[in-house]
Amino acid sequence: MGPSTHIGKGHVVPERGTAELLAAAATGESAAWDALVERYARLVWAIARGFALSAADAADVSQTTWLRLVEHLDKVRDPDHLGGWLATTARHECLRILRRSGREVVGVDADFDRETGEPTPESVVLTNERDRLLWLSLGEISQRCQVLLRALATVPPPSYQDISAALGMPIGSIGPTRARCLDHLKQRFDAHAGASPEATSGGA
Amino acid sequence: MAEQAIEPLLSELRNVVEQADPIPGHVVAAAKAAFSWRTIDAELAELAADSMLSGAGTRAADAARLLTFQAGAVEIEVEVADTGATRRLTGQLVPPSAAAVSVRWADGSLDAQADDLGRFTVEAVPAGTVRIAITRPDDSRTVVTSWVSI
Repeated sequence: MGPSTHIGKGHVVPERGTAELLAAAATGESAAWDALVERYARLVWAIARGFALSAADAADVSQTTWLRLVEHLDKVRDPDHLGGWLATTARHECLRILRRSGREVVGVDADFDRETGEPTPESVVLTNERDRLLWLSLGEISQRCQVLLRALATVPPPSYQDISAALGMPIGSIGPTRARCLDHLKQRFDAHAGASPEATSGGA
Repeated sequence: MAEQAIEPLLSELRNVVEQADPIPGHVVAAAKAAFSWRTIDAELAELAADSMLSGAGTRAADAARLLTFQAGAVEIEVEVADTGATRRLTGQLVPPSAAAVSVRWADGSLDAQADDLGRFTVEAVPAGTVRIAITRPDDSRTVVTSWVSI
C-alpha cells in the first residue's frame, strides 16, 4: 500500500508523511498545518488530561504547545519525531501548571506512581454501566498509568517514541509498564464490577 | 516497532475516552489558528530559563516567576507577578537599551516602552499564553519571545 492514492492524472489525494507536512507548513501551507493538528492534537490533549489537568488548563497546554511548534517549524531537527517533540513540550507545560498549583510535591516522579484513588472530577454521562465503571477506574490508577493509557488510547495510535516522550520514560520500559497499567485498570474495574453485577453483562 | 495486538481492554478504553473526554472542537480550532502567528521576519528569543521549572523543592507557587529569553546576544528577563486574574510583567533588556515593547496574546496586545536602562513594566496582562515583541530604535529586526503560558 503506497503512501498516496492517485485518482487519474493530476489528481492526487496525498496521505502525506509528517516530514512532508512539516516542510509544507514551514513554507506557509496552512492545509499542511491543519493536517498536522488533526494528526497530533488528540495526543497533546490526552497527555494534558492524563495529568488530570482541568479542561481549561489542558486547553492552555494545547495552545502553548502548538504555538511553540509554529515558532519552531523550520527548526524541528527530526521530523519523524514530531509526535515526541509535541509530547515533550506538552508534558513540560503540564508539569509547570501542576507546580504552579502546588500539586507537585517533591517532583512529579516521586508522586507519579502513587494511586490517585480519586475519580476524575468531571461528571460524565456514560449510559453504559460497563463504560462508566471503566472511566471511573481510569481515574483511580496512578498518574503515570493514566497518562500512558490515555496516550495509548489516542487515535491515531502514537508510536512508542511519542509515548516515551510523553512520559519521559525509556522506550524499553513502555511495554512492561503498559501491561502493568492495563492490569491495574482491570483490577479496579473488576472491583467495581463485582459490586455492580449489571456491568459484567454486555461486555466486549 | 512491532505493535502487539491491542488488548480488548485498551480498545474498550479508547471508546470510553472518546465518549467521556473527547478533545473539544475549540481546542482543535485554536491549534489550527496558531498557524496565523507564524512570523518570518522576526528573530525568535527562546525561553532559556523558567524559575517555575527549575529549583525543585522551592515553593514556586509563592514566589514571583522569573523568565529569561535569549536571542543571540540579546537577553530579555521578565518577572511575572500574579495580580489576581491578570499578570504584571516587569522586564529588563540586556544589554540595556530603549525599545518598543509589545505583549501579545491570541486576541489582543499591550504596548509599553523600555527606558534607556532597558526596564519596562506592563500591567494587567490577561493570564494565558503570551509572547513579547521587542523593537529597538536602532534595530530593524524585531525580536519576539517564545510563547509562554502565564
